[in-house]
Amino acid sequence: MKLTEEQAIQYWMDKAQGHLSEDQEQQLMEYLAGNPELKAELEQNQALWSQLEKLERPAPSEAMDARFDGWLHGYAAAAAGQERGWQERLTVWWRLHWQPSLAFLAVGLLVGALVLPGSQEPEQLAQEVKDMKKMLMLTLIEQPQAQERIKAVSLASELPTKNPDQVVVQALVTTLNQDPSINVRLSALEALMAYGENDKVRRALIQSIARQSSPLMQVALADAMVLLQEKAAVDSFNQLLDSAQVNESVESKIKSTIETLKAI
Amino acid sequence: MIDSLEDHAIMLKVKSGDVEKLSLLYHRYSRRLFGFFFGLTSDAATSEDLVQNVFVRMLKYRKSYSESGNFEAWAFHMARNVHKDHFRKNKRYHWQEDMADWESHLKETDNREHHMQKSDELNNLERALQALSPAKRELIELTRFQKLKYDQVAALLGISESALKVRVHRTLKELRELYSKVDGKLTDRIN
Repeated sequence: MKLTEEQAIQYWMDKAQGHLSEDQEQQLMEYLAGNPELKAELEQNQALWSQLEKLERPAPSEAMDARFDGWLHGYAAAAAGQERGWQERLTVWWRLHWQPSLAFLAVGLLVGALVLPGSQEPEQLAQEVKDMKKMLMLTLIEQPQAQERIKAVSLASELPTKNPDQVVVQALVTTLNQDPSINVRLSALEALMAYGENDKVRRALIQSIARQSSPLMQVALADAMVLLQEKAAVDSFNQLLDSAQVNESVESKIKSTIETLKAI
Repeated sequence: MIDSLEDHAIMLKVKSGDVEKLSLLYHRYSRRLFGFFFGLTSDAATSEDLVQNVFVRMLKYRKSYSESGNFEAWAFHMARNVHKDHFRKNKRYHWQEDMADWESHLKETDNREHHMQKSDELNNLERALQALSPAKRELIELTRFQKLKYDQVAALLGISESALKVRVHRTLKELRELYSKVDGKLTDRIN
């Protein structure tokens, strides 16, 4: 079999690596004998190939190894961290960061000691909460939506009943007497009942009897007076009966309330 | 052969999660890879970065390492991809100019002492290598300097082994011609 030029080139390169059989070498020699130009070319290439080995390459710096080691260590630590449970990770984190954490804690305590009042008693905090609720209540009670005004009345219920805030009480009384919504007025009455022991509140409730034209409010006030056992309300109920502002269904309720209060 | 099997076994450990074993492979291959990149870029700092990139990529794609794989071939496959990415970003290297640019290497500012240390022949050979196209230069790097087997390089380049041998032969022929040309220019310059 006669070789082609490309086959001869391949054989030559295999021969250089010691991978050529005797038969193939024989074929190659025969081919090159008839193609001296290719033979010369291959020999020159062979010489160049050997010469290339003499070219030197610089070595990398030591920093390259250090950089790699650092990176791999970090990568391995991060990979291991992902497999740990949160408690173990927290422990590792603490071991690594306990010093800055303690420093932050110390700074926090120092700032707290300097900025906040020296002895903030629970009473003071309670007072702050009370003031905040009061402000919110006074704001909400002026809102046009009945729902907001009912929220305001609920907030008033959360305020302490002992020594009631006069502004709050006045706001509730005004609501009781003037709010266009029966539901809001009923809520205000319920809130004022909590201050039943306060004389001013009791007087305000008695005075309110004459101002209520709604049967529901009249009945609710009658029940309230019985609960408070307020005998002074009898006159107000009598005046209400005389004013003809009471419908038939409520009239009997008012009369029975008057009888009950008289009997107390 | 034994080294090759060891490399493969180590890489399988890395693949299974023992990532710190990659350090062993780094110490076996980092110099060769550095040489490969230096041959392509002629820049030591860039070559160091690219070596690092190869190992970063190895960890990133460790799951894709074949159970029946050859680590050396895989490492150079990674290296070629890293170099391609780098080349794409940097388009061309300062030395990859045409033949006329060679003369700039011989300006007065050149480090004459450095050139004196090497023989003129080797300096000229280096210049001739630098004048090859990146693909041909890579071919010489893989077959001659990194001493990869022809079948490995053929697989890397996606060509047959016989085609690779012919390609190497033709590249060597071109290199010889370039070498003669550089030598002639230098001789003219000296005269």
